[in-house]
Amino acid sequence: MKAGKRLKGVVISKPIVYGNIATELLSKKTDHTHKWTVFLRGPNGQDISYFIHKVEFKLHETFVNNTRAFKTPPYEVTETGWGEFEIITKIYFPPMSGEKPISLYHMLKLYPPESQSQTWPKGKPVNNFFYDELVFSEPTEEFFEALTKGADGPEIPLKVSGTQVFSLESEAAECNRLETAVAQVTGKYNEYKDRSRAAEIEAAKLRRDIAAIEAAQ
Amino acid sequence: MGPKTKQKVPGMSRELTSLYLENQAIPVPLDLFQAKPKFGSKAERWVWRGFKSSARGDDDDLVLYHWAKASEQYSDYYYARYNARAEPCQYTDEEYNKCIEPLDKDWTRVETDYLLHLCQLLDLRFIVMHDRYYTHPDCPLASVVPDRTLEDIKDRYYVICRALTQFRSGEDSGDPDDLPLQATNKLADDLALLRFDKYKERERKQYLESLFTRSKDEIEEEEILIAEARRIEANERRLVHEREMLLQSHAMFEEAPSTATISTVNVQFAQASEPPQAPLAGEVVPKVRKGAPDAAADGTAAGGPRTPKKQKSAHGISASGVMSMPKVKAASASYRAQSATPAPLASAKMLSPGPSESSVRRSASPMRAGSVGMRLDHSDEPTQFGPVSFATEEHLVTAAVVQVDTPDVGTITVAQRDTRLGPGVFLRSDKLHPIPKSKLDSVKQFMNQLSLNSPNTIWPRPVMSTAAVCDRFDTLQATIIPLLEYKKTADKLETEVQVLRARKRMLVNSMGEAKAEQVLSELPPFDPSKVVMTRAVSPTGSETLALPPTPTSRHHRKGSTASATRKKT
Repeated sequence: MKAGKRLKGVVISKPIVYGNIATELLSKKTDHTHKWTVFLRGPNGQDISYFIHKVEFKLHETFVNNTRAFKTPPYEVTETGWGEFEIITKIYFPPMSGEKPISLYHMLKLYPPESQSQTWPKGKPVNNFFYDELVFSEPTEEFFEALTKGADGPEIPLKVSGTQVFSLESEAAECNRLETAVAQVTGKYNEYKDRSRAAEIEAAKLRRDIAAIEAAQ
Repeated sequence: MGPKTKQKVPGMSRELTSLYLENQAIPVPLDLFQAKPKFGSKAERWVWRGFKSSARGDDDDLVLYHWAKASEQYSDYYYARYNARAEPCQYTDEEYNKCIEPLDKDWTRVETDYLLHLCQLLDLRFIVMHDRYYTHPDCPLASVVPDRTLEDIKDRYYVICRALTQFRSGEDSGDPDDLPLQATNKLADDLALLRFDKYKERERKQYLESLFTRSKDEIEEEEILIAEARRIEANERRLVHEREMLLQSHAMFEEAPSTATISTVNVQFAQASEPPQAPLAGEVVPKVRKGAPDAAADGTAAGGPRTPKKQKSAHGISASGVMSMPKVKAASASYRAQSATPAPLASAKMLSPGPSESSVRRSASPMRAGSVGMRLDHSDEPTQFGPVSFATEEHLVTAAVVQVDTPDVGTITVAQRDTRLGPGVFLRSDKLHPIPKSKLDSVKQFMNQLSLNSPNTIWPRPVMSTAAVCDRFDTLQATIIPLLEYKKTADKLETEVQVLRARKRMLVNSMGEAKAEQVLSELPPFDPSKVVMTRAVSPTGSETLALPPTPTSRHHRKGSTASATRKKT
């Protein structure tokens, strides 16, 4: 089915969250130490299926049917295992959009991070979430309609709550951090620049003096 | 078989044995004798025959002789078919009077006829014609032999032909302006074939002449110039690129408008002034773009009763930088809106002005009853284009936005970093500015120190990659790289200074303090402004080390290595 005309200059972006949650299996009956779920969803728990046609999770080849496809939400795979590997999440868009599928790569994380591995309470799930935005540039007319009509409710929650780890607040906080960092870095840059300049000047002066002394010897 | 063949080695063939053993006679087939070839048929009879050629002209009586097969019967000389003749134009008296006569007063009818006659006779070989002009026996009587150059003759001929072609095509269909397209095209083609520019031809021949008579020196000079030009062209791309990089790195910190990077100049550092616990009284900056200058009145959303946090100085810069962006109408008004006085706290009412256009970036619902008791309602939702209405979505921070005129949807606000995307889908984090691999590690380390990286990623990326965040992230990255460069430079220069100081001390000691003082006081005062930065830092990291060629430099290098080794031990 041929895609319709593309709207030039139009850019729409949709936020998504993907990643995995892993909990340690306490029974230890098998050599699988963790139960994990890898997922793809909207940041506010809202429906994202109106612009997603299919989601394929490609797991490690040791899993049976390692390509798990979902045409309807929830886009989740729950499995048990012991190893961390790269998961490829391939998102297919509806045919009317004429867009190619896009792949996201992330590592399945089962174990808590190094710094906290000692103090991690047993049974506490390890969360490994990534926020990203799908930027649709010059979408087709049909798709554009679907994208704008399909959203209901805010797409990014205002605050962090429960499993919604990404919020407008966290965005603002990150921006602040980045801004302070930029200010810091700029300051440091100028500092180093001045130091370079001063050193340059002094070096020139010293060279001149040395030349003079050597000449006089 | 000879006696030697009795030596049979098992496993070896006869030929191999004979080769292996020397002094064997090697049988080689020699065709010394060739039998006389046998022909099936009898020999042909050839006859010494005379022939005439039509190519020589119809009334030519010359009979030439050659050997020919008795059975051959040629009507004409075989090669007469290759006699190509050029057919010059012919004109009638009428045509002459009508279209040729008025062309050039300098040529008489008699001369023109003579010219055409020569053309016919000499196959339009102008050089020959020119050579025999008026010396040919057929020439008309003239008291004064006209002096025509080769170009004159050619020019006259072609002019005649053009005039005739034009005239004839016009005649055929009556009105020359009324010709059908094919005819005009054909006419144009024919005329194009008859183009001859007398003056150009003369010039061309002069050029050729001068080219031919160049001296050896001139030829060498030309070759040198050509090689120079080629070298410059080859390096041009590199030079231009370097120049751009330098400009970029300086432009960022000298607040000049830069054309290259997306995020440097236009980042709007609006703040969400409140900490998360308090209700969001910070400036909820809508991405409402207002074309009119009085954006201050509209588009501002909630603020606290306290003044909003300080607007960064970068904001002023970005506004001015934004102004200078060509083509794209930057969202300067929205920046100005933020610098306006704060709005009341209680209801974070967003006034969306009538004529404003809302952003298309996200589509959120018009009513967002946030859990913080903040009412964000869009009183008059503009639905200016099409059946779809776009509501604005508020973010607490903004990215740089620009107005984009789209043919289909109207004017929409798009994040500036998104304006240069091609069609298709992308992940926002993929569109961060790439860092050269060599710097990847150091940049990552730096970012980790500032604890700004998303964990578990290979390359640096922000925790939450929205447009606003990505803008700032890019800026940060772009700032870090020159910083690291300058850090390196500063360190290098400072070690150099150390070394120089040591050397000076040494010299002073060897010379004696007093004498050194004397020498130094005689020197003119040191002028720091004359010191040129010998080490230019470009973001690509190529430092141009231009050490001044003093005799001490050699010692410095030695000294530096010596000190380095000392440090190591």
